[in-house]
Amino acid sequence: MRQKMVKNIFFLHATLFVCLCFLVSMSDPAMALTCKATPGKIPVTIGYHGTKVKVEGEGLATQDVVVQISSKLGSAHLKYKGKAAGIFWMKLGNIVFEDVPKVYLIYSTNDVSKILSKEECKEFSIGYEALEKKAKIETNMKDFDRDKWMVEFFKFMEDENLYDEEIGQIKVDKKSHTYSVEIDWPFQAPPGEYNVEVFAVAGGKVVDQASAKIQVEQVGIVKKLSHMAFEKPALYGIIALVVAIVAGFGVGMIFKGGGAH
Amino acid sequence: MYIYLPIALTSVTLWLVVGLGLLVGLLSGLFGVGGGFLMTPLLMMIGIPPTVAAATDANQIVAASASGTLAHWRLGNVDFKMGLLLLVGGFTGGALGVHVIKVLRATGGADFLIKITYVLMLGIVGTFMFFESLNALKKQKAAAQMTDEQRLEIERKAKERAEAKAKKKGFLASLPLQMHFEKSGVTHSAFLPVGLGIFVGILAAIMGVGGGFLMVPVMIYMLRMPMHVVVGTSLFQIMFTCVEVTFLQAYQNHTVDIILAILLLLGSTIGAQIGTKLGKKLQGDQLKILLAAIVLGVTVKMILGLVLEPSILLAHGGGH
Repeated sequence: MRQKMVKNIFFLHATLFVCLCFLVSMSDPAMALTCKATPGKIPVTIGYHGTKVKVEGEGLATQDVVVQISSKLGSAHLKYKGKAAGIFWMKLGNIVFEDVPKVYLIYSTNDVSKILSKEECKEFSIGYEALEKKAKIETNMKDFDRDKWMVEFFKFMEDENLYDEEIGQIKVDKKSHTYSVEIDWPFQAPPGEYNVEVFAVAGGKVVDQASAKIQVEQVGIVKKLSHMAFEKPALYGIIALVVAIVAGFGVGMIFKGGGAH
Repeated sequence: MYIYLPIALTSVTLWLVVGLGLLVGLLSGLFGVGGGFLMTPLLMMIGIPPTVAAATDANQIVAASASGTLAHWRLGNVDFKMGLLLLVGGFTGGALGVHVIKVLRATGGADFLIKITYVLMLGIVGTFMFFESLNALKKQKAAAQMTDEQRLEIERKAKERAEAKAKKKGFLASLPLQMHFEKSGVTHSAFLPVGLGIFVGILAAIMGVGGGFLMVPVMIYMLRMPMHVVVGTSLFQIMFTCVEVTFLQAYQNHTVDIILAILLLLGSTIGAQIGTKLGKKLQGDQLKILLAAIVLGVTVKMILGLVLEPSILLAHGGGH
């Protein structure tokens, strides 16, 4: 009988504790940072030219926040330019950047290097400096200067619209503890899955974080053509030729029909 | 209006691409060049990856040259016999050139050779054509102001020079398989067009272009064909070369973007027809001087690109 009573009291306490936790989490938004990317799926159609993506969330207990979007780490096979015969600028050889994302977009309320310590940036892989430390470079270049070529790599990726670093675009509402940022999603970003990470920052440290996913996928005719080009290349090549020859002769016939000769 | 390209993985403005096709098609119809030496760099400038730009360019040249060949065939400007012999040489030379590049890529000297060949060939061909055509135009002007006696005297001297040249041509005349090319009005050994085709084929493969801008001067100055037959025959030959290149690029490298090719050929096929009609209204020497100016312009741009330090020291692989 006594054992049963103890059991009931324990059950009652446990229930009360769970309810209390729920109520606390409801009343204090700083406890749970959220992140939502809209749209979560970006369809690449024939008229696609990039899109607007909104990243937003609640439960922000800090003044500063960093939103980071990146693809999986991979390698970029590029050519480096230099002077040949002491006069001509041209591609001289291969350079491969390993363990770098194909797409990297970072938005912050303030300069990342001012609101986060170097250790935190490295631990959470935030910012160009953290990417630089993680990257490996393979090349046959003589007198190779790693720092110089990492700077060139970031310049190149920014020029391709695949990397971007923006300060001050994130809107933070201190009263409602919410944040939001509208991103011009680059059409150059290839199909695949992208990680959206949000870091609440205070005192040079990451105090909370949340994440979401964005999926970019080809649909309709774009998907069909891409599939055919890689899976049935002979048929694709023949179709490309037939289209070209028919178009060429077709226009020739139309011009003749117009009686211009 | 934007169009997404499934193989290039980029988005382009529809009218910009159609406009580029129209411009290059116009040049194709006017001069009998495929336009690859212009189109590939232009496509790269609007963000198309170099490998896709070169392969898709070949695909659209099939359309432009088919359209141009048809137009020139109707005008009686295609020497099929000469075109086929050049084609045999071109295919052989192309295969040899691809092998040369493979060997050079392994040794690391390919990019330097490609660039230097490009600048030298474009520079030599452009300068030669420009001054030759300028002289011809000057002579025409002078001839218009001459008396009949002076004209007869000059014609007699030119005839003597031609006869002396024909006698000197002993070696070429002694080659076997001599045949008359009715449409072009010339007699050559079959080995001459085949040999020249091989030469142009090798250079075209090294430079990664169809070879029209090299083949046209070869036909004019070495095979002595009349300008209007040159244009039609060159287009006929280019069409077959680009059919081969397009198929191989699609099959082996998956770099032909059919949507981009359709947009380009929408413009280029119409441009080729307009170019052909415009070409009829211009004199041969005027055409040559225009082509020479374009070739020299591209050469100057390439030289500047070679000597000025680029703002970014990294680039995609492929292309020029």
